[in-house]
Amino acid sequence: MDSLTTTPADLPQIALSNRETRRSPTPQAPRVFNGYFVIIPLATALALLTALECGGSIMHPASLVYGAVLWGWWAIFACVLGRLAPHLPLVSNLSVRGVLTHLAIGSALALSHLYFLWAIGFPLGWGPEGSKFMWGYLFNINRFGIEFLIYGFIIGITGVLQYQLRAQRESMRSLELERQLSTAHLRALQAQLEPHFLFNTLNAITTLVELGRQQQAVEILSHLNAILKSTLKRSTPEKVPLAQELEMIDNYLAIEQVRFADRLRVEIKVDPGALDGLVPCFLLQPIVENAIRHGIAPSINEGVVVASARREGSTLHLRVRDTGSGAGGSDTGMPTDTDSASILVRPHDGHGIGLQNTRERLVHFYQEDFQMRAEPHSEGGFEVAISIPYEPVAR
Amino acid sequence: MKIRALIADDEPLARERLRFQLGSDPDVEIVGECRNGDEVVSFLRVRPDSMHVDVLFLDIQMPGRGGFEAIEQMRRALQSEQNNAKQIPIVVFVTAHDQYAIRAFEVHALDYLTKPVEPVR
Repeated sequence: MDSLTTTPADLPQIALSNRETRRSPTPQAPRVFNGYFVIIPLATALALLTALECGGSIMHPASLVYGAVLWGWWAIFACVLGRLAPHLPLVSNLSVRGVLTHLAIGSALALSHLYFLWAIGFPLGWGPEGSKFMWGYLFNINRFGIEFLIYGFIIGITGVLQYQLRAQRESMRSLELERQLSTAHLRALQAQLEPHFLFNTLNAITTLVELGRQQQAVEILSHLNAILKSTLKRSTPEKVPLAQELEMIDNYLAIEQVRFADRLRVEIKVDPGALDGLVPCFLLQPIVENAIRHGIAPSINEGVVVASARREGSTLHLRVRDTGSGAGGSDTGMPTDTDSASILVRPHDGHGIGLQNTRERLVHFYQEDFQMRAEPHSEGGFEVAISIPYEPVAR
Repeated sequence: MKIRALIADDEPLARERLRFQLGSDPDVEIVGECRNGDEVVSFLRVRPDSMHVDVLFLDIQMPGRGGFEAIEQMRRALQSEQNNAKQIPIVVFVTAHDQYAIRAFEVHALDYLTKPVEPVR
């Protein structure tokens, strides 16, 4: 629901005539003036009605002024309140303090309004029997009550609009958050299916077929099939048991093993008690892929990738280590950073981006409740160690 | 006379494939296989004059010294040896990615093949 609360700062604060409002060329104009379009005609109609009732004719100037002052006062108040509403706390706040504040402001506004009516009544000569009548006519409990009622009415409507607008903004914000999260999820999925990996695998299959090694080609195809199945599934679960994540890694490593043959050796050490622990889907796969791409592929000698998982009480420790690029010239003298949830960016290679992605996902799943360390290992190579809370699969 | 070819690739499967494809051509003789740039450089340096290499099938991304670095190294070695008899063989780059193509021709390339290599002409 639109309301006057969205008035941009450059517009007249109180637009009491339609002529004024039409000047605004801003595209949001219809949205902005909805509130004024209600308040102003309403106040005008009420003013005319009042004039008709007490003067007998709307052409009677004193009656017109009386009506205009009577209702214009509240129209101005409604406009100002509407304008200020976005910056005020909820006016419909019903705490003791809120109610007392409204009582005070309402009384002040009502009394000053009545006084104002009385003061301008003198020169205009309102009422059939002069000012004395007017004084009594204005300052009695009925008039005051009506004034107060109007105040309450305006506050109530403003409160409802304020509340709805805030709720709307809140839901927009949470939608935006959700969108960001699903983007992060998608990025994780894309990262896990590296295009180069896919091309290299297809090349390998082509070669194997060409060389007449059908058995091996079939094996790779079945591994690729398993990877694509879990990657391209529409409804990927957010967390999977560690066993399932390791199966994925097995498939991946089996393919890489064909490419690198004697140069790649893989060791997976898993504590059986850790297998049913839930881990974010595709958490380890990009890390293993990184280890191969940056630790094994550039190395002339045999390289080893060690992936291990163990459970320690209510914590799951995951570790992926590579033996590094042999000579390891670029690894020496690098700063290490072992603070909780910190990332070390290996210069000149892609470690940083992948790990940044991993970290973002860990923050999403565990907030502060995780540790991630990524640093060159003292015996060469690179190590990524992650500790997350152990959550067993629900049975 | 047969064309004498040297294959350089770090992935065994890729070497095997190239060997298979070149082997089917009776005019081509494969004189050796290397797994990285260093092996290429030493292979070419120690070869006896009789063991001439006509064509070098060179992968660009290899561990240690890659394809480009290997060529650079060969150039420098030849310059220091002042030996005009020895020449860098004709180089055919073999790579899975096409982003190196321009650089390859700038350096010293006869041809540029992207993997998977279709049967060579």
